[in-house]
Amino acid sequence: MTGQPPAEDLGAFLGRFHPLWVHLPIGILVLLAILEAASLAARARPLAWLPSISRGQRSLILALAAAFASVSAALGWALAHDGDYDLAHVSSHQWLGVAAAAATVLVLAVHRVRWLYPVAFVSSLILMAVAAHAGATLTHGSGYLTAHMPAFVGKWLGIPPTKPVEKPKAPDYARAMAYADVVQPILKDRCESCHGAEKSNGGLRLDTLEFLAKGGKHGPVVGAGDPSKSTLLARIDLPPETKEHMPPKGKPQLSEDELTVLEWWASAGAPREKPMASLEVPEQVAEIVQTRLGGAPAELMLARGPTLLAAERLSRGSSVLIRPISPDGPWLDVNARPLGKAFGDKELAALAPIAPAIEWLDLGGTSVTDAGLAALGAMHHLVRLHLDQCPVTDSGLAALKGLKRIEYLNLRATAVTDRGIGVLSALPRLRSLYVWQTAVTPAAMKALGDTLTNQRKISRMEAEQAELARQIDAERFHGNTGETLRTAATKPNESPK
Amino acid sequence: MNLPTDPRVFREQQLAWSRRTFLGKSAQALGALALGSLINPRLLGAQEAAPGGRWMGILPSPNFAPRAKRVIHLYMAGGPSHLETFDYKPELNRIHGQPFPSSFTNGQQLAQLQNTTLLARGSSFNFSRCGVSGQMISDLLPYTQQIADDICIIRSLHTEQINHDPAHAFMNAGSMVKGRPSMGSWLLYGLGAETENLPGFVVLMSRGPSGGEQPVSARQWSAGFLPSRFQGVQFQSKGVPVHYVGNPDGVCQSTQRQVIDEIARLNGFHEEETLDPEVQTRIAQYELAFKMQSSVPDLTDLSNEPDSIREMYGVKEIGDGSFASNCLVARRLAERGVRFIQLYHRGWDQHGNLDTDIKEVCRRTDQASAALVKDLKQRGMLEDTLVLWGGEFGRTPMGQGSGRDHHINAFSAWLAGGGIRGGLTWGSTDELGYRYIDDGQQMHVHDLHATMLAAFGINHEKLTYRFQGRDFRLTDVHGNIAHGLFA
Repeated sequence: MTGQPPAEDLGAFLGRFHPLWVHLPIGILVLLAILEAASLAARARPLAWLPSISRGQRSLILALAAAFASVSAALGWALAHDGDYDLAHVSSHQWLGVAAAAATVLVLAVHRVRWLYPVAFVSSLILMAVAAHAGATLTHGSGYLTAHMPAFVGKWLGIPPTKPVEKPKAPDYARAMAYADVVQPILKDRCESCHGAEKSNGGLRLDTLEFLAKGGKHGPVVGAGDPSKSTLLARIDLPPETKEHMPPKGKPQLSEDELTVLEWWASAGAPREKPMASLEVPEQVAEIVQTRLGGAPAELMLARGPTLLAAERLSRGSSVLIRPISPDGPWLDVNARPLGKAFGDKELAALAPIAPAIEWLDLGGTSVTDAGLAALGAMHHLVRLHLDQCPVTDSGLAALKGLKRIEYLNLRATAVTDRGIGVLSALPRLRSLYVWQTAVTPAAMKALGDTLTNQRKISRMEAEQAELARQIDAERFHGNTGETLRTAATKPNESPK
Repeated sequence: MNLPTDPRVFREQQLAWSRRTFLGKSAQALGALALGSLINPRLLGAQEAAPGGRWMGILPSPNFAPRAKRVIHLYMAGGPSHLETFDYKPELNRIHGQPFPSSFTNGQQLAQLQNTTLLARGSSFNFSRCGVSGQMISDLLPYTQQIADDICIIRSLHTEQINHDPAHAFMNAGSMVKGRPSMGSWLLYGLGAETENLPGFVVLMSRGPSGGEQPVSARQWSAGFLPSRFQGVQFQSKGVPVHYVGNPDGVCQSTQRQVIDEIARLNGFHEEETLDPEVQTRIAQYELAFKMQSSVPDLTDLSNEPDSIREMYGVKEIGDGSFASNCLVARRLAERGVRFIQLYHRGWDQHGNLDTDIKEVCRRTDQASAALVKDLKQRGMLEDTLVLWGGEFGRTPMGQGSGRDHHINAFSAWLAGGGIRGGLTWGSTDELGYRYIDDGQQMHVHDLHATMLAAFGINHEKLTYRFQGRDFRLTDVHGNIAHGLFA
């Protein structure tokens, strides 16, 4: 895991077999419990066909369990001195484990005493369960077991629901703190299970700012102001198949968005408790942060696989063209233009299963009407929309009101008028609007353009009030891995010809 | 990991596997396929997903966010002089007629100027600052001057081939070697086309008045080692675009359909027997030809094009074989979902009579080129249509009698739309226009290809095809994306 090869150490080597080995005594004890239960049940006549355990068998099984449990405890002891675990948690598991092993030996010693054996055996089972749970918590982090517990199970068990109340309501973008609300949640999701309070591999903890600044046993991990000096980013950027890559192979990886945010944070000098509004943030990062803060939680739930499967099913039924539009997100380019008039309201409504994932939608030249446009209401992610040469009018445009991400809208050769495009002032990102061959007048376009520009100015002024010294640089390029070509644009509105 | 993505395309590759490789890879590939089909459902059951063998492209998803959906390549064949069009060189005008400094030319490759005295030749034409951006454009191109803010002029292009045919091949396929796929074919292979009713890669040709132009060989739009269904299809620019698409007397569409279906069935037997992917191509071509029986007449039915549009392009008569007519047809092809449209205009090879001949070829191409950009823009199509105007190389700043010789160290082109930033001048040449400057904005043909693929969300290093044991790509082992071109 480190730069130089780790020193040979037999104890450390064997210790790492502990998590494997512990399952042996547990399995043997559970098997014995099952056999004992069967023997008990066999006393009742209807279940007399069940096998009964003999003394010799019991002695042999218990001897094996005691031996394996002792070896487990010894291996665990070796691991505790090597495994980068939090000592407080380790010591409780450590002593519970030793106690469980001792209890097993004790059961072996007393198993011939008829009245004592059941008590001792059940006690040792309970002790084993508690010790095992403490060990599992070390590996997986606390709350792992109950994270996905349905509410009724928790109610039944009397465990108060923990997860839902744990997350405080995210603050809005301007007030969100750069570290606490933006960076920390990413580290918590992706890093803390191994670099946290319970387990701190490499001596590195990423659960608080102080620990983050301190770094691990190889020194600080964030090169403030210079992302190229940040070991944290370097390790994340390494090819996934290398040993030094973090998170390790098999663990959930950082998404491109998360990486973008971390890179921005490191390059901005790892700002601590500063509100986002007071920092210079490239628009791309701002957008990601806004989405993460709860811009549209439904979108975050969109998984790529199921969305693409749904898209596949849809395009099989009709010949509408559906293509993924991003390398790792679920976003889709849906093109109905080749179908022409054969594509109508019914076909548009049938896109419902993939609606939230549609980023580009080309309905140009189709027979979609005002009534059909209601289906666009669910397409929150829409950025490019072609409605040219469709039988749509002013009243249909109302359906676009909630589509806050639209940047491009083509209304060429439709029946829309000045009255209809007024609605579009509710689309904060609109920058290209095409109204050639409509009744829309240049004056109305200018008015709309002014309104949108003013809105952008106002949002910018708010940011300035929060001491945003420099204007957001629209031309700024985010050269992530050299592959992200997308930039956000705040160009003035394009006026019609 | 090699995923045998499409059985047809990769059949050759599969046949090339030895038994041992096959056994070794099968287990691995099965697992990968099962996993891959979860991520990209198109992998398994490609045939079911694509009725009629529709090609949806080899790339399951883009490598990064795409901007463009189609290319219109205005191919100015013959080697347009950058010094008369987009690269303003007052210093060259100043030393007009004087010996060309040998510090520039020593050891450099020359075409027809070998063993002659090299004299500098200035441009006879004025340049103007145009648009809000103030780009310098020659007064030979008054209409292009009007779209200065929509186009990005690249002045630092350079190539490796000094004669027309290999230089065309280099511009189209990134190599002078025969048998390499052209960029239109690569794009079709990678993305497929949005139309099934027309070829995804269409070529049109027009020419100058003199008749002495270099021919352009059909290998320039060949699919090379890619399956031949990805090759460009040349339409006639004069008269009917595709000959004989109509049915002969006495044959109706339903009869025709039956004939096509039966031929496809018989071809299917042959394919099962031989496993030759070219049989698939043949079946697909029959089907396409059938569809073109209705799509081609619709393409050339210009009754719904208003006179104002015809005037804008300067079209006298549709289908008269002119570049203007081809530009209008190109827009209509783009509207119908054709992926790659290439309009060759021959007549830029001015070894002599430069001043009179270039005036004429500009007159024939300038208005329609600009009209195409304007027309795409008013339709909202310029945002996802990448227009490239340019030739295969430039011309020498040294005179050749009354003209200029071929030149590979510098030439100009422009790009518009498809996410390209308008009003930008990219790269530059030295004060005599002899060689590009290494300032990070130099653009080799490979770099142009890489950048064009990037506009489609394709990483040029990832779009490969295995042929004769090697993974080939359009940019060979070169190519840098000019990120700065994108808005």
